[in-house]
Amino acid sequence: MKHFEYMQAESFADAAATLKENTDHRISVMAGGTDLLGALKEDILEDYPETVIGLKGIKEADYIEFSGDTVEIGAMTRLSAIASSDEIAARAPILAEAAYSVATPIIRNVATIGGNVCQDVRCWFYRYPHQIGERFDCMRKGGNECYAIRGDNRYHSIFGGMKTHATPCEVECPAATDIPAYMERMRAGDIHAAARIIMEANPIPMITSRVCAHTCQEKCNRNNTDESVAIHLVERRIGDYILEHAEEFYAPPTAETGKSAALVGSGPAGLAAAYYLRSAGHSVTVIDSQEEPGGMLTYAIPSYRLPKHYVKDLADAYRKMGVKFMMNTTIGKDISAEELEKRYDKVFLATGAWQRPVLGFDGEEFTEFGLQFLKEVKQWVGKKERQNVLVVGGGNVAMDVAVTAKRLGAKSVTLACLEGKLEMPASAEEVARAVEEGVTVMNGFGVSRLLYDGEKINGMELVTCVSVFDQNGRFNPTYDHDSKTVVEADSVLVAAGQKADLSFIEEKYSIALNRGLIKVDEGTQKTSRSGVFAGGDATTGPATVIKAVRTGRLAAEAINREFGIETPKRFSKPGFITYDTEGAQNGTAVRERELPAAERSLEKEDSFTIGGEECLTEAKRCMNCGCYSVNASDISPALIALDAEIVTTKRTIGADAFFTTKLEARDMLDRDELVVSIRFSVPSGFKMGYKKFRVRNAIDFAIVSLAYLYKVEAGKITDAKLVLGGVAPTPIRAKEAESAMIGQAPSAELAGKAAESAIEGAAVMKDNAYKVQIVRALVKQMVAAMR
Amino acid sequence: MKYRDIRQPNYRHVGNYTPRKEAKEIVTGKALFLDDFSLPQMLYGKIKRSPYPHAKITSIDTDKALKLEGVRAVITHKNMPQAWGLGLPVHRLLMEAKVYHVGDVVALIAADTLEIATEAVSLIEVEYEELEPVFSAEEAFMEGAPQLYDRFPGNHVDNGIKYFQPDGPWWQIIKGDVEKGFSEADFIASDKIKFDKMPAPLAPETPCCISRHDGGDEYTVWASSQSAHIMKLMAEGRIPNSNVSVKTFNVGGSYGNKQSLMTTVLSSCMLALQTQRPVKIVLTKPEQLTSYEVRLGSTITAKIGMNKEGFVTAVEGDWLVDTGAIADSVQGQVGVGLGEAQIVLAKCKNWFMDSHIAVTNRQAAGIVRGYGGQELNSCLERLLCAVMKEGNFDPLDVFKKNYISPGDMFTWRDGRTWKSRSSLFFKESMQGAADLIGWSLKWKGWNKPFAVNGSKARGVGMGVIGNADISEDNTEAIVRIVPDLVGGKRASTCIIECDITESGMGTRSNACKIAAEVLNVPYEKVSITEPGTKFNPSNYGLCGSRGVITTGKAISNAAMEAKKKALDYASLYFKRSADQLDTKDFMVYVRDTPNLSVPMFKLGPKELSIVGYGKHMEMFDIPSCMAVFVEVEVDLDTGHIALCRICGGADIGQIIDIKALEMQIEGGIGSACVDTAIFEENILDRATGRLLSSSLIDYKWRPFNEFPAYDSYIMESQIDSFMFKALGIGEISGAAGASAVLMAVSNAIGADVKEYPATPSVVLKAMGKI
Amino acid sequence: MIKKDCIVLSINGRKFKFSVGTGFGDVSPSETLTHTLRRRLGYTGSKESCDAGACGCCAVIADGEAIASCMALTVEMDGKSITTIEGLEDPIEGLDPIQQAFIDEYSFQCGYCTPGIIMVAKALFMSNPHPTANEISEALSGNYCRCISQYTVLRALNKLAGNENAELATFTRASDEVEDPIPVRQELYLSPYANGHVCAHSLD
Repeated sequence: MKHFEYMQAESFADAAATLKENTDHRISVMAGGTDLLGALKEDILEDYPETVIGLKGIKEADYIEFSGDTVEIGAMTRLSAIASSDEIAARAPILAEAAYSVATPIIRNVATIGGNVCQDVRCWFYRYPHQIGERFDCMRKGGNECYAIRGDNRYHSIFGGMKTHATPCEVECPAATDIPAYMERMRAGDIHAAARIIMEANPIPMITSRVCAHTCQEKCNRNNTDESVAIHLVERRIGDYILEHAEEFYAPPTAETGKSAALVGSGPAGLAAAYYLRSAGHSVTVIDSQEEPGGMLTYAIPSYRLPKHYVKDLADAYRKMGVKFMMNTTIGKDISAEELEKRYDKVFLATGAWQRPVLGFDGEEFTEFGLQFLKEVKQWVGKKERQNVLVVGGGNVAMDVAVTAKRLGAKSVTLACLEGKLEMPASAEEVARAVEEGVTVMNGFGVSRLLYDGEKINGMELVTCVSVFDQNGRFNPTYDHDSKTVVEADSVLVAAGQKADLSFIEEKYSIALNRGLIKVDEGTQKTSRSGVFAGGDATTGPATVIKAVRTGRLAAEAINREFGIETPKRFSKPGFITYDTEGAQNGTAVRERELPAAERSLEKEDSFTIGGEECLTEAKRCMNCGCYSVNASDISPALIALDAEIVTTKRTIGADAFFTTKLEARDMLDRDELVVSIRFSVPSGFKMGYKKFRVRNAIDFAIVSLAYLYKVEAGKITDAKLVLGGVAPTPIRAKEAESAMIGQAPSAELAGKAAESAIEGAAVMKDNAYKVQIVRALVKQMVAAMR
Repeated sequence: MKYRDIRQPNYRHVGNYTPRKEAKEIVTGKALFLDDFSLPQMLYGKIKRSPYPHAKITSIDTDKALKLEGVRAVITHKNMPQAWGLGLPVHRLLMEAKVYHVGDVVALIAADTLEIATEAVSLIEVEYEELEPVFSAEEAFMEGAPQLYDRFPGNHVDNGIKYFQPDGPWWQIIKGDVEKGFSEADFIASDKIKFDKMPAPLAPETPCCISRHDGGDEYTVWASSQSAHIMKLMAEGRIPNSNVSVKTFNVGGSYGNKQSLMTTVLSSCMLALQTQRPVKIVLTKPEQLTSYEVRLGSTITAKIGMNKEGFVTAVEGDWLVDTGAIADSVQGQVGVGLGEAQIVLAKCKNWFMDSHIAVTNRQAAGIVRGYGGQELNSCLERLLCAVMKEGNFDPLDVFKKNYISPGDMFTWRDGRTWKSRSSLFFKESMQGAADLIGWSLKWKGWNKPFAVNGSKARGVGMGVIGNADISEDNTEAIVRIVPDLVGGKRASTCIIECDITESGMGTRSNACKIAAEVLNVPYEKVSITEPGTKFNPSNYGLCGSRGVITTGKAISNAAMEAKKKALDYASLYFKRSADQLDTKDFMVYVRDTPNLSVPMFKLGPKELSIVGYGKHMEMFDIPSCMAVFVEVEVDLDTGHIALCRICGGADIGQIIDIKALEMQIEGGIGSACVDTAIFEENILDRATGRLLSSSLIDYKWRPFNEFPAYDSYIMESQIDSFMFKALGIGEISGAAGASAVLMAVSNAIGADVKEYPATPSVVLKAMGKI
Repeated sequence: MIKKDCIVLSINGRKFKFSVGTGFGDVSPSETLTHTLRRRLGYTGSKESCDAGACGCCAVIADGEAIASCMALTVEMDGKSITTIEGLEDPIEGLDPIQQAFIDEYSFQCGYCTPGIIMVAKALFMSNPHPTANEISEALSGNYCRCISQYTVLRALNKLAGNENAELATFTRASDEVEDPIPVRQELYLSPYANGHVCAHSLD
């Protein structure tokens, strides 16, 4: 074992005080030691303690006391003492049996009840010894994958897992969409609930699913072994469903608050904010300088990626919801910002980034701005004719420009960007599409100068880009000026960067800026002006649609808060999470179906929304990453059944709450909180026991355990309590089975019924279906033995 | 000939219980095992192991480890002082730029303390490029399967090792006419059965050794090996031109599994060479479980034909053997396995049984008690059950009919055909054990329990296995009658020079017992030299169930020679012919006038010993036999199997030590045997290639409170193996247990169970409950 | 809180005082009792086998109870009285009855796990001189033995405990029924190799 310091506690208060004082110090508390020493020897956790505090020296914590009906057991009482106590055997045999079933005599002589109730799981992935290769960095350890999902899970949960922390996909999503949660609803066939989950984070999924770079997929845990879940395809189907049922999802608020908000800009940020604000019952006015709502969605993103009707339909839905659109209204021209503040309670500025930045090369003025090109194409399709086009830029806009140019009939389209193939900001699919359609991509080139003859463009001189980012990861390209290349072109479209147009901000209107963008408080989107919020590209510079959605939502939430309306708690299903056993084994993602290259046009959407079957298959591939291990303690199910209380140095917690609220019982304890004793009243008139199914009658942890307590009066079961261990991340009450039994006379038939009730809601994994049958058997045998 | 016609000799020592020479040391904790021993200035070695089943090492950085105070050497594939190989034939190096299984050697560390060495392991930074792994022989042979070694195209281990098969490779039983055999069959069954969980024999003492470089190409290795000789043989084959002296202590269990310890020994030798200090490596339990040798993986696809009389008429099949990431003794094991199949089905004339050995990305398989036979038997007997079931035969009858009898021919692993001259009474020993378990009452037919009580159902099953290894390996010994140098009543002692390591079977004590019997002296007055290869005559030591037979023959021959010399001296002394004389307690006396006697020390040259030399030469014509009957109780609700009773039957020729025999018979159920049918398995996680059964909690073994009753039926028919007529039993004593358990479970639940082990999940699936 | 600088253990009747620390010769706070006994004091009878509390090979008696010494920190044993296998034999009285019974019944094979088994059995007999057969096997349920000495271990301990009819294993010898034997079995198939002077491999 690696070295640690050891301190012996003289009392729990003593130990708690030390824990409280030394917050910067890694300290482990050791009761019996059999669990902790095992973990330390095998070095299964990255975090190794500097100090171990031993509690065994607290002699006064080693007792079993009886006063009236109350039994109190000191936390440092050894399991052998509990197992061999005649009093316990007589009054609470369930506990004596549970204690006796733990490990082996030489361990029970050391292990304590306090240690047992706080013990760590025995999952073999979690416990994999570091010395053979290396430890598994599983979800429970803060890592990203539960290896049991695809690995051998014969001893794991049959009732689902528990979330340990936000999954990587969820964390990666700028809107923090709870992707696994909506996938789970999809698997359950409940697209409606899935839609609700998405809408909590993002009200325009029919759009984001089409245009978002969906980096969530890059973080999907499946990438470690096969292919990411095609999250955006599932989202798209749900998005379409939402739009098809727009009246339901974009329903007017049930009550008006009488508050008002003006949202400047009808792009994704504005639309997101509008939805959440209107849903809360405020009067919402969206102001935009363009004719149609949608901002970039309408004017920049080509129709083959996002057909215009989606935005139109969405805007219509918004209108039905009661959102007012004030189009063709330019802030700073038609209405001043100050005026808005006067007329509305709150103002949200999301005016976007529409301006062309100056790159500063010779001849720049003869080149065209890519975004403008896209905007114009939308308005005057096919008016421009170009032969040989050079596009500058490596983002999605550049890809759109290049593909659009090609589809417009350009003979050749070349795209030059600073970044290497893997560094390109555009999503891989967009790059692939461009290449597929004949766009030549030149990676690692920056612009040097335009080659022109009067107004006639001949081409562009490019310079080799050595590196794009500096050591700190900041954008700071360096060039090899000796290495230059010429590309012939008659048209150059520059799609490298966009600027926010903040011309509406007049001198007297003082609002803090940051590098040409509106400065906002992260998390609330508050600007320096009271009551004024901002979001979207105007605050971030050109960014993804989903990032804009996030800022819109955050602003809406902050505004609501200022109006005294709390954002409803986001979707969280109580209980355990599940995944599809077979579906999760499927290594191949559903492919997006696309029009053949020859049939693609500027207007028609290139790809199709996947069908229901495919969508289900894909949702089944989501592993719903969490921890799927099971509780290891034999004592805890017995204590839940006994309705015991866990007395800590700070409070008294009911066993049910203590053991079932958190993934780990010890998470219930503060850092400086320790279990002092266990207390319970002897239930009178009850029969009770602890059944433990395991491979061997010694050493093994429970595969399934059943702690039971029941009362039979006049031939009928008048009360019953069944707690299952080893089947879920925490012990669970078999409440359905209890209610099936209460009021009934014990019989073979009832035994079967109770057994079936006990497994209700079971969600087995690949290798553990047998555990369901064991649960049945234990319950059946218990009822069959009732007298 | 009737069993009752056999003379039961009355020996002075042989057959009785004599406490082992080291019995008192063992019960007082004084018995020395390797890890109890240290050398001055010794360093501790540790192995950095691979996390991936198959990968390329793209970079390896040992700087941090080397900077750790107390670290004396870090060796990787890049800076190995010499390129030592592994495998037979050598097919890889100790360390390479590739790793072939989780736990493969990536780097070696030697440090002042174990703690420092362990810490240094974590400080070595390695980057890998993962490669696709294969985890079974079937996968390994598929077209397009990832390739492991250049030496083995298609992952196919070539059958070219002269060592096991001196006349050339032998890996198929081809005889008779299979088509004709099947046309004569009334019942035919075919199936594919796997025994592929590669369980671990799991000796309590982990593999360990201390190596010292003695200069030049000389090394001394202290090892926890049951056979110093085999280790020397293997090590010298891998360290070019070397001379390795191997010394051993008591060995804490081996079961055949701790013979060569090659990876561990080469690792410590390399560290010793580099540091010029002795280096001790003791594997931890997780290392032993996940990275040390286990049973072979076995998959057999076969067709068996049987006629109305219950004789097997034809066997056609293909045996796929998974030897894991290192192919070592596997060809010997496959040869033995094929040989054993013929012993059980000796009456079958028509065979076409092929075998293929694959290397895969699982941990290496090696030698384990049962030596290939158990792995094949566990599959083949399930197939035999299928055809017996077709014809509704009582398996006891079929086994009795088909088992080898004297005069039957078989091909053994040396590739030669032998004619059995073994016991006539194997059938009787099977019946004897059957009677003990109550077979005639409990056998109710196929898939029929004999008792059902609520959810508990009971069934019986049986299996038979045999082996012809008991006279394998040449052996020599010297017996010296050494005069006591001083004392009024000077006598003598007897010293046996023979290289025998004690790993639990009592062979050292039995050797003394045999010499004591031949010379007719007290057992206490006979001792044996300390084990070691350098100063002892050659002996393979305790491998296979032949230790007592091969060393016994060499020692009894040597003792006879010494005795003859003493008698020759005495015939001059008494002026009588030697055949009128005999020996007792280091005296020579005149048989018809016992008071005419002379102490041996007076007969030999002054101060010098009377020396005899004896040897044993290898042969394979005495098959053994062990029948195992089991009774199980299965909980039909949970699929839990309780092993209630085991009965074993054997003809062991002559008992050498009654209690040691009992231990050998009962011991057969350990070391990854009978419980490989119930709960014992190495659990491979295919998603990561790791073994999840990495601790004694997750690797299941049978605890003290769950031992079934064990009743044995023993016959002693005095087979002419050597002077004391014994027939080895240890190798096979439990080997048929696993297949017997599956038969019993199938009978208890009323459905065929074909998967090893029959975990609750397997049983419930077979019953259609899940 | 007590930070131990020095601990005292009584081992097999002898008092050992150790400094706790990281200096040479100090007992590290993270050192297990197994380590202290085996590597520091040369009490190598108890074995470090699984080092996870699951095999019982390291079992010793601490203040009258059997524990897995690999699962105890030496610092925690301060003030305790430890008995190891080496402390069981009395220099005058000789072997402990359990030790003697183990020899008489051949209750070991390789003997590696035997010290742990004996210590657990000893602790049981100290608290309960006449345990039942079930109590004996249950007490030993944390002891690993792979050679299968279980039958003879249980036989020895049941005899000591006075448990009649607790025999788990029986031995039936067919020879017991052989009456009036006719001497010497005739060899049906003589082997050219049987005399031990010819090697099969030299036949070519």
